Amino acid sequence: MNSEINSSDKELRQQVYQAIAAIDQLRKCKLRVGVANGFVHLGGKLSSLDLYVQTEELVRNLAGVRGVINRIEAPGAPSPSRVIHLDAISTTNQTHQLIKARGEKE
Amino acid sequence: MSFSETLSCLAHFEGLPSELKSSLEKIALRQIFSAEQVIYLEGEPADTVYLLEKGWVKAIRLSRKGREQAVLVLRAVDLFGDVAIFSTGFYPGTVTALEDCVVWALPSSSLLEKIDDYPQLAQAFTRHLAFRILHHLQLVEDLSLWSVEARLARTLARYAENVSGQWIVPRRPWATYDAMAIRLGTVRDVLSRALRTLEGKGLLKVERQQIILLDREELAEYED
Repeated sequence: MNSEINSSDKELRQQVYQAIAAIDQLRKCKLRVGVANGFVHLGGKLSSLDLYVQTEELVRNLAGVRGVINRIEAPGAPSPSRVIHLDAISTTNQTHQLIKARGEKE
Repeated sequence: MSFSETLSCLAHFEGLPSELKSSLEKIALRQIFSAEQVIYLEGEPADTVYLLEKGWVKAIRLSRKGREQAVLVLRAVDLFGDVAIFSTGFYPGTVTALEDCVVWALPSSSLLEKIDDYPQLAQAFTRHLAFRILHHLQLVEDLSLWSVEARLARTLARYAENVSGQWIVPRRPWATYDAMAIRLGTVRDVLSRALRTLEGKGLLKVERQQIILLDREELAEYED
C-alpha cells in the first residue's frame, strides 16, 4: 500500500518523534510531523519563539534530514502557510533570521 | 450548515442515500481553522478526510529539490485528503487555510469501512478522484507546455467570474503575488512582469481589488 513512501522516511519520522519526546518542554506539545523525501514538515503549536527555534534546530541536526519545513505556530514566528523554498540560494527559511534577531536581543 | 447539507452541495455525493449521509454524519467532527493554519502536513499519516464547508484552502507540495509548488486551491464545498487514504496512506502535500475555514473531519478508518458497506459511496469517490486527475493533467500541461505568461492568461480566464457582463478575477486578501506565483510555478518578479505584459497588450487591467479581463477569449487561448 505504501509503495511510494520510502522506508527511510518512516524511520526518519520515528527518529523525529523520539527526539521531540526526549525534550521535556516538547513532549506534551503534540507537535505534528510529516516526512517526505527526507524533508521534515513540522506543525502544531508552541508557547515561545525560543522553543520554535530550538525544535527546528533539533530536527535539522538529525542524521538523514535534508531540510526542515517549520510550520509550527508560536508567538512571533512566521506564518505557518508562508511560501518556503529550501532550494533558494539564500534560504527563505526565516528561522535563521529569527535566531539572529534573538542573538541581537540577548 | 449540517454535515448532510454540506455533503449534498458536493458534486457526485449529492445523490447518496440519506441513510448513508446520516451514518457519515455520526462519524464527522466539525472543526474550525483560522486563516494560515495548517490542516495537515505533507508526509503525515493520513488519518482524516476533510469536507470543506466554508472558506478556501491551498494544497502545496515540496519538490525533491525543496521547491514549493501549489497543486490545488479549493473553495467550499469540496473534499480533500482523500487521495492519501486510497494510495500511500500519507498525505501527498501540505494543506493550509487561506482564510477562516469550517471543515468536517472524517476519520479515514471509519470512512473506509463505510465504503466497504456502500458501493454508492465508492462510486462517488471514484468520480471525485477522476475529476481530480483531470485537474492534475491540466496542471501538468500548464507547467510543461506553456510559458508563465500563457499559464497566467489561461488560469485567469479559467477562474474569471462574470459580473454584470464583465469578466473579473477578484483579488482575495490571500492572493498575494507570492501566492499567485507559487500557483503558476514561478516567482513573484516573473509573475509581475507577465501581468504587465498582458496588461500592455490590452488583454487585462490590474486593479487593487480585482483583475479585469478585457479579452477573456484571447486569454483562454493565449500562446506566446
